[in-house]
Amino acid sequence: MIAYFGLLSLFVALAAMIAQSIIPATTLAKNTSFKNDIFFKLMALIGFSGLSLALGLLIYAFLVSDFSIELVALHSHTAKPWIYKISGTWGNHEGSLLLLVWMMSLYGFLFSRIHPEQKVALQCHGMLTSGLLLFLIFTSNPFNTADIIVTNGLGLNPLLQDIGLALHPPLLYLGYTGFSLAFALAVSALWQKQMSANLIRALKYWVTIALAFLTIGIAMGSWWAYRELGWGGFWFWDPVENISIMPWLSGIALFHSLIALEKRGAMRQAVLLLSIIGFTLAMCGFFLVRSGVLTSVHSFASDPARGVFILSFITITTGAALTLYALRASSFASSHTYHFFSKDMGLVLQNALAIILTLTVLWGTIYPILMEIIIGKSVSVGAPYFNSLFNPLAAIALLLAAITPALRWEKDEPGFITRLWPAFAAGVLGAVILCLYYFDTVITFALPFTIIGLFLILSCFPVRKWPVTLSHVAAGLIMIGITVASFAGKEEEALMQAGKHQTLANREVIFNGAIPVFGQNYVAERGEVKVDGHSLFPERRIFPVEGQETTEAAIHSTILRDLYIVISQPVAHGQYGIHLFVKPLISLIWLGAMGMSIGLIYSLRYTRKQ
Amino acid sequence: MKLTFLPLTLFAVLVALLGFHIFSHKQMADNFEVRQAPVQIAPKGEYALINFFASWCISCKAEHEILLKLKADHTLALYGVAWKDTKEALEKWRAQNQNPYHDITMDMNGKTAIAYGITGVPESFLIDREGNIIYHHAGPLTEDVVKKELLPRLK
Repeated sequence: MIAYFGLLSLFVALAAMIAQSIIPATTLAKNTSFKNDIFFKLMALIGFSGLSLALGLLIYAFLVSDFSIELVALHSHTAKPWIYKISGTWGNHEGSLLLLVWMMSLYGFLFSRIHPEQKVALQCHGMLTSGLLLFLIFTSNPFNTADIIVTNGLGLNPLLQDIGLALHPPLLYLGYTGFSLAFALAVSALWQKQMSANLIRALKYWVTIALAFLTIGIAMGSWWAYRELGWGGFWFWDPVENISIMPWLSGIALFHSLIALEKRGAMRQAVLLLSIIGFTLAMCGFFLVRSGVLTSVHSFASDPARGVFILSFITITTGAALTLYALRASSFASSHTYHFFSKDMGLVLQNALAIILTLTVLWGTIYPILMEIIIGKSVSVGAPYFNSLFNPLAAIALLLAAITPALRWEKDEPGFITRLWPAFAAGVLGAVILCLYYFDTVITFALPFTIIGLFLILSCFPVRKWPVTLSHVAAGLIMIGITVASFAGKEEEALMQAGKHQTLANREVIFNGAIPVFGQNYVAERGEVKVDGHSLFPERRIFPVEGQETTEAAIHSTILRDLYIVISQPVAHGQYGIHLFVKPLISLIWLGAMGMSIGLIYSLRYTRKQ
Repeated sequence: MKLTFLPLTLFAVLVALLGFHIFSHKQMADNFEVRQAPVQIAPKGEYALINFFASWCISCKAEHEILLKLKADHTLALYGVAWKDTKEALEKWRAQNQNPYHDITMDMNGKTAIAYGITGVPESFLIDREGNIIYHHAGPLTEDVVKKELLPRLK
């Protein structure tokens, strides 16, 4: 029953999306009622309703452990806590694809109500949604019924049984799919050979929302990795992490280009190109984990056949959009003169940097594929490449972010720098103090990064506009958090017996033994460790259904530092390995990401008022 | 050529690269001809041992010698089912290890694993002439298990 109605809802949604894409352009549209708002709103509503019903049914099937649906049997189990039964819906290829298409329809529905005049964009968006729906229904049907109904399923990978990883895909996908509207609007502008003020406003609106979700989605994935993987790292330049940071970088460039476009009518071509590229990168990001092109810890079961479908979809959509751009973009070129000392130039340089950063990450990510094709050997590109190139360039970009807001539009004098001296001087002073405190010396790589981070934060005051201040301060905090946590982090481990105490990483650590505990679907050994007077309970969990073990680090967080404890398996003489990590200022990263997203959403209200 | 054609050109190069990569993987896979493991793996009429394994499974290495011995003694036909594996890894495994199996299939969609109720690898199922499962062993096979549980059941 669930499977029948689920699949039926998908077909209904597909029909509505195809109608939305094609009918307004055909001879049927001679009857103008197919071109007016109501038609689009109705089709978007039917599409959204159909997909909501389908997703709702699938979530329900997971929640009640309906093993007549093959997907549930393969990825769920009755003993799982209910919240992971729900999040397990998207812990697999078919379910996560359904989630993605549902979000496409959500955005389409909202778009049809908030910007109903963008009819060409609505048609384009309908085509995108139709294409993804076709892919879903015909190659990745989540409602396949099982030939044999088992009494219990295979369970969900224990690494995914965590709140961070329950929230990460939905938030990230809301970011990815949001760019589909920017894509559709750009295509519509190229198609109609003009960018109206309404279109620009619509672009700004949806890009802001998409970027806010993308920021928090990426940060949530990083936060999960930090908590769950047990060694205090939060970014590994994994191909799938890279593929999520690229649309973010181009999204930031797009967001700032839109500011220039609104205020000065400049950067039209950049806005169009970045809108197309942003969604393309987002689609590559979503699909690269499931096509067998790149393998990483993130990969779903790879299937080259699906990879071919996906590549075809991206080729057709982006190929068509870029062809349109190639043919028509020159009519959007602006005869804008850029004076060197101007906010305009600052934004141009920032765009250039964002693109260079994106290309740096892209090159590092596809280099292994390239080498495998050319020399037949598999190589891997790791953190050293990315860190040595990306970090300095990112620092320069953030330096620009401190300077550009102080510049005037169109033309400013070199003397503008005097406005920034106080902030810069205070930044240097603060950075010196910070470095002396954490490193006992100023001769450290952390110094330039902390200077720039503090300078960025201080340059936002006095406050000109709150959303900008919030977002830029947040960026500065993230930079300082990453720098200090990475460079000044300490760790130490020792074998300890119950009742013993030891000094690890300059902290007093007391181990009070380990006891067995039972979770709903796991058995664990839980240790009690006291660090600096705080009681922490690290665990090693065993999940019998999936046959896997996970480490649950115990973390005590304050803004100033995280205390991070991992307990090992017991070794001889009742000893356990106790590993302490001290991560100073790491919370600034998560707080900064939240601040940036809030600043972005806040800016929507702000522009509305104007 | 106008500058506006540059993004399209770069995109075409990228697509060509990825497409070539995907297709070359497909070619490698096709050469091996791995089939999906059916639920009815062994033909009726003879005793068979269905062995769920994987190229990445370390415990499986422990029982590999015993499987080779079973094959050499013509005791019974072995059917291997690769679980949560990839075609490339399986090909590599075949190149590096002697093949004890009469036939190897791969459970690509997980359905066969569900049907047999396995929760890990290696697991082995002894099938009689009528196609019934008469013995199931979870974990690597040992000399002991072969002597005490498998051989006595072969009539």
